[in-house]
Amino acid sequence: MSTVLDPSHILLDVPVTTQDEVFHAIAAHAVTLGLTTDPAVLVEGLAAREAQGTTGLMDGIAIPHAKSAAVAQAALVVLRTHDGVAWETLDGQPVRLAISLLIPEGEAGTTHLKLLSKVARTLMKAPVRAELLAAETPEALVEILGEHVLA
Amino acid sequence: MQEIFIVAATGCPTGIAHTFMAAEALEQAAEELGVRIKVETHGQVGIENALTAEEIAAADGVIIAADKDVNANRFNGKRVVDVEVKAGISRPTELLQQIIDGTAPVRGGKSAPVPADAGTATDDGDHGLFGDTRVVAGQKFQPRDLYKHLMNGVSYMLPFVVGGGVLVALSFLWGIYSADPEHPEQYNEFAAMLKTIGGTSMSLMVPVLSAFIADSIGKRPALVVGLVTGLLAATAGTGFLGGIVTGFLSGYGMLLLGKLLEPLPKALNGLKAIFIFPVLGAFLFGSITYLLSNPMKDINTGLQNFLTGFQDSSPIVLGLIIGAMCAFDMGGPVNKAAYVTGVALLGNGNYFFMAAVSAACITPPLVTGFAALFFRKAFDARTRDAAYVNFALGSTHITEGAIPFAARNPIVVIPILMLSSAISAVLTLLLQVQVPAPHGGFLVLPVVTNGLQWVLAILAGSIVGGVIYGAYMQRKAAAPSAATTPQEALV
Repeated sequence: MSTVLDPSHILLDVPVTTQDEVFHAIAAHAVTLGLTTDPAVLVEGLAAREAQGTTGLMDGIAIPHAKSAAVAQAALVVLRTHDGVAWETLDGQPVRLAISLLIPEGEAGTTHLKLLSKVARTLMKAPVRAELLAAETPEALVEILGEHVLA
Repeated sequence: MQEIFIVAATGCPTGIAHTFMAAEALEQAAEELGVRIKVETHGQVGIENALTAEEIAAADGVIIAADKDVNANRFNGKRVVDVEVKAGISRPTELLQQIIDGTAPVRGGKSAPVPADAGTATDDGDHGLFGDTRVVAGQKFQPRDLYKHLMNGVSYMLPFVVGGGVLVALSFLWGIYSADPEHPEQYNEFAAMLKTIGGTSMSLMVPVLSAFIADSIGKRPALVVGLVTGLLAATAGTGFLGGIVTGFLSGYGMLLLGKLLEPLPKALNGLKAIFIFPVLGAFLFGSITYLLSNPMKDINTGLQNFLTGFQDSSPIVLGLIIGAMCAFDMGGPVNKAAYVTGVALLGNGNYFFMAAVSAACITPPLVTGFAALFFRKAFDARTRDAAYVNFALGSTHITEGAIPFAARNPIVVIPILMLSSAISAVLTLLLQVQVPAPHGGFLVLPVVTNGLQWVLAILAGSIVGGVIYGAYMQRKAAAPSAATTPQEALV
């Protein structure tokens, strides 16, 4: 999953305080990674999905995602915040880790989608969530996701 | 009824994340509750793991956790829990419980094909005094079921062994002959009582094992026969193996008997449960057990002699095998196989084997603890805390504590743990340690023969393993950190 997820896709200790800032940080980082050229549309996409129903899970993890024409290539962008961000979650806890799934508009029925679905499945395992929250380096995070998703 | 089977369909508008998380959550919860589930996912990639009409027909109930249409009409007439996808993620157990308890409403009102008319038109057996005695037809037999039935028996049996074993072991605190009036110098009335109670509990081991293997297969009618044949087998000295044989014999035998008696008029159903099944079943399978007792006894004695011989002639090989088995899947089937053998031999008065098994089970969590102690920097704070907690888990024979560590890198970590457990087990056998209780870790030390040697054997394996595992973690932690610091990665 080198192109979908790479240590460079991961931001730790980001000083954001609102959901909107999280979306903007994700979009800005997607620009530097060459995943999109239109961050504003991407932010809209993330916000639109959020409006359909929250992507907040439990234990401080959320999976904001968007399927948008602004996305050039399917990828994961992971952002861990310095402080908790208010977010509607299943257990009411603030979000500390946003694992964002970015999908190009045209994609359907491909391996990328399956991979991302597998990431979502993996996040349902409590030990994995704990490991992700505790990971100290982007590499460690990638390794944890990679191990469980590719295994 | 055999096992509860639930079908489910999950779906969400984007079909990338929640659909699959709900599926995963339901599957995890089902496993915890011990029910079988099949989850169909309506994702972006289309429908996966699609439910067949037969599966829907065979299901005890349906869970729909979806924010989109999942073609729910096909579930008409079944008990259906229909919720939004988020509920599937956040409270899967509750949803499953509604099906298990039968409180979910039947969808579409009209009672359609298979289920709702139970007990009236179709012949699905008897629901009288003895509960549901029907033979589940059409359920495919899976080899995995054998293991499940066996483990059902083992899980009911273990408390008897633990309770009895510990009481018997305690009685030895007054001396090895404390319960024997022939040895007045040691005899103690209280110890004698402990030993009698404990011994009675232990003697129930084989019958209970047999009964609950049978119960898992054929429900209540089989439980009766399984208990009777199990006690017969135990009395005849067939040991643990005999109990397994009679359990399966009674379970599948009663299923077969139920099938053969199906043509009997429905009016006789009540009589079947209270009279025909117990009388015929006990007679038939009791006779078979009676006739099989002698050969089974020989096999049991033979196996015991073989293991005991092994234990005397090549303790190192035996220790290696035990250690490797116990650490291989930590609480899984391979580990249980070694453990159950240890418990079985305990029932026959062989305390050496159990000592080795216990040592091998105690070691893996301690390995992680020592690794974190010796190589502090190789672990982050949370992992380190978990590793320290493993000192407590290991000391109380909870091998599972090591699983999170092994799961991170099974290919490397499990062999390390297997090696460590093998060292502990080999040393335990060589040092002639005897552990008379099947659980409890270091808590049972007062009743362990050569307890100090036992602790040393375990520490040796754990420390060797801890050094290897810690060194591995340190190398792993040192390798990638040079690449980018988090700050640099920040845009």
